[in-house]
Amino acid sequence: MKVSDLLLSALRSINRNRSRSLLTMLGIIIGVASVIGMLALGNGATQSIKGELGKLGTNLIMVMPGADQQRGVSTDLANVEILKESDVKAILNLSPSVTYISPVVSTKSQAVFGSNNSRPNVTGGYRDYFFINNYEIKYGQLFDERTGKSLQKVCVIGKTVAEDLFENEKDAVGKIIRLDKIPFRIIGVLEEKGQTMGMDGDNIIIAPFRTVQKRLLGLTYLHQIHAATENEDEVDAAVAEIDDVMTNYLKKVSGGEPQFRIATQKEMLDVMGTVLGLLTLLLAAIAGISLLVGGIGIMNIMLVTVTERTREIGLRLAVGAPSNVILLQFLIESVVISLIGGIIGIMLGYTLASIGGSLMDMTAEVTPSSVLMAFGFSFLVGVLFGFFPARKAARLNPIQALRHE
Amino acid sequence: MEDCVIDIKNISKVFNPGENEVRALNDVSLKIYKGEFVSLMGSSGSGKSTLLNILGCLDQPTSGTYLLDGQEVSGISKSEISLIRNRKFGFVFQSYNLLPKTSALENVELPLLYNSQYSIKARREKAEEALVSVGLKDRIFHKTNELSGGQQQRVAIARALVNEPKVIFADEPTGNLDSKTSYQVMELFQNLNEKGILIVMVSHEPDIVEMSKRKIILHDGKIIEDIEILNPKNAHELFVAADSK
Repeated sequence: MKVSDLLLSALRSINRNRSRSLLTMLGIIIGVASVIGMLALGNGATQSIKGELGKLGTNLIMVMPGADQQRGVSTDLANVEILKESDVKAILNLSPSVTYISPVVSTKSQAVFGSNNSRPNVTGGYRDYFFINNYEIKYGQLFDERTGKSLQKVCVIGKTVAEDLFENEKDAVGKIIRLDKIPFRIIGVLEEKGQTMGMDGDNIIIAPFRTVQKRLLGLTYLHQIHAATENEDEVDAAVAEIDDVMTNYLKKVSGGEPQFRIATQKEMLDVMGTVLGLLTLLLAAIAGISLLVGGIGIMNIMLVTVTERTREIGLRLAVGAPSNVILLQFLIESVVISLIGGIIGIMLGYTLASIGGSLMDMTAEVTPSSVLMAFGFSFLVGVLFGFFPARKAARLNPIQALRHE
Repeated sequence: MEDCVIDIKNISKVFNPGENEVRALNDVSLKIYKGEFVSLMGSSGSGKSTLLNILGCLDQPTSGTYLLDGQEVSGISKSEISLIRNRKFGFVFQSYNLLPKTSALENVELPLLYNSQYSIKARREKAEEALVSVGLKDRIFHKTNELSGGQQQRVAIARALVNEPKVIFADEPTGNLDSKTSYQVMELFQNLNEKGILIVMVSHEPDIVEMSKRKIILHDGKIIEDIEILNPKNAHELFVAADSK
């Protein structure tokens, strides 16, 4: 018997019991659809989060105070007096891979213009801060010196702030706003950055570092140091250099073990990617269990089919069908059922992914590898769970099978 | 002898060996020659069906030898036995055993499916030919459940002869049919026998057996009578007679 004959006979048998076959397929359909949907949504989420983090600058290196305790008292890391502006200078002078560097202090403050007010994040930094964090100017200009003129009361505002305070964001440039009662002149408006992980990246005011540090906050230290390299592949070298500089420099200046921590955006992206990948895999594995259950459904129905068609099997054996052909016939039938289920499942998975994607406002991408995997898996399920019933059919005794009622 | 097709010696068949063993066949020897039309008779449990199954290679004897065309059959592999059944034998059963919801043509094609020598086209031609020869030319595409009992049995006979077998084994082929239809079926068998096909049939109806050429009666797993029927009745004449009533 040729494979084409077997295939035809399988399709016919499936067609004869249409509703039963469809119900059997349902397990596979749901399994495959959920595996594909989950993987697509997981991929989509990973991509969109990576994209958002990427907006923050992929070459970003952050130096943060690393002590969680000061003389036995837990303190807010941001308020630990470890990093000084002199560290920034030291890094700039001694670390050749670092192209951009800026100290960072930040706070939340009230911004007032006329009768309008807003509550943005206020950050103090050098001009490099804009380059490091991928801020681009839309109207006006950036600070005119690299470090910003000392204590100059100017600022660059984000789109949200501009919209909150002014009718037209173009008009913002040149206006004087008050931050905690201190007047600041707006010299620029930033391009829109959008939401980043649920946070409004445009609700921001950036002013020269020392202005914010001394005037607004009255601090002598700084919260973080942001640095960036020209290219992504220099990040690792830069991290090593910064670590070296900081360790030696801080030791010399303050004595004792320096307490700081270096984090890179790349690192965060990697960690995020790993976590999301694991999560996706976990979801897919849970969905895979339903595929397994679907396979058991196929086995069950194939067993019923074999029992139902015992006489037919007996007859086929009697007229000279070799038992391996009988085995193949039922195996092909179960594989065809699970493959048809798989194909429908893939289509449903696509639909689920696009619906889920639009609901969650991200592009859920069905990858070819996940389709291939789902297809292969449903084939495997068909073979695995079809084998036992098929073998049962092939081992029937023709005389007993013919007498079967 | 050259014409000896089936030659069994000291065949025994024991079911459930052990305490409750049933000796269905007890040391049976038998030779069947080319061109014969043999009836196996006997009461229920006499072993006639078991003998037919063993002769048809559907079952293996517990002991004894079976020479088919001078070739030893017992002890050969399952796939070789499948091949013998496919190429040399045809089977007709009491309950027809046709595939449900399937056309007469497809049913008749079935044995050819397991013979890779036939193309789809050749398969179809052979099957049509066989259906025409049993007088079902206008029923070729009918589903089996749309056919009468006699017609179904004729489809089964067409299926048995489609691969040009040497022997046709029939297990109570008229058991489910009325006498008139039985005569029709027997007429087909007689015609096939004329053409040289060996027929071995199990039946318990004396009038049907009278249409064959040799009567073998079994009792308790032994042959107790083996007689030639000198003047077999002509099934066609009986059918005509029954039809005119």
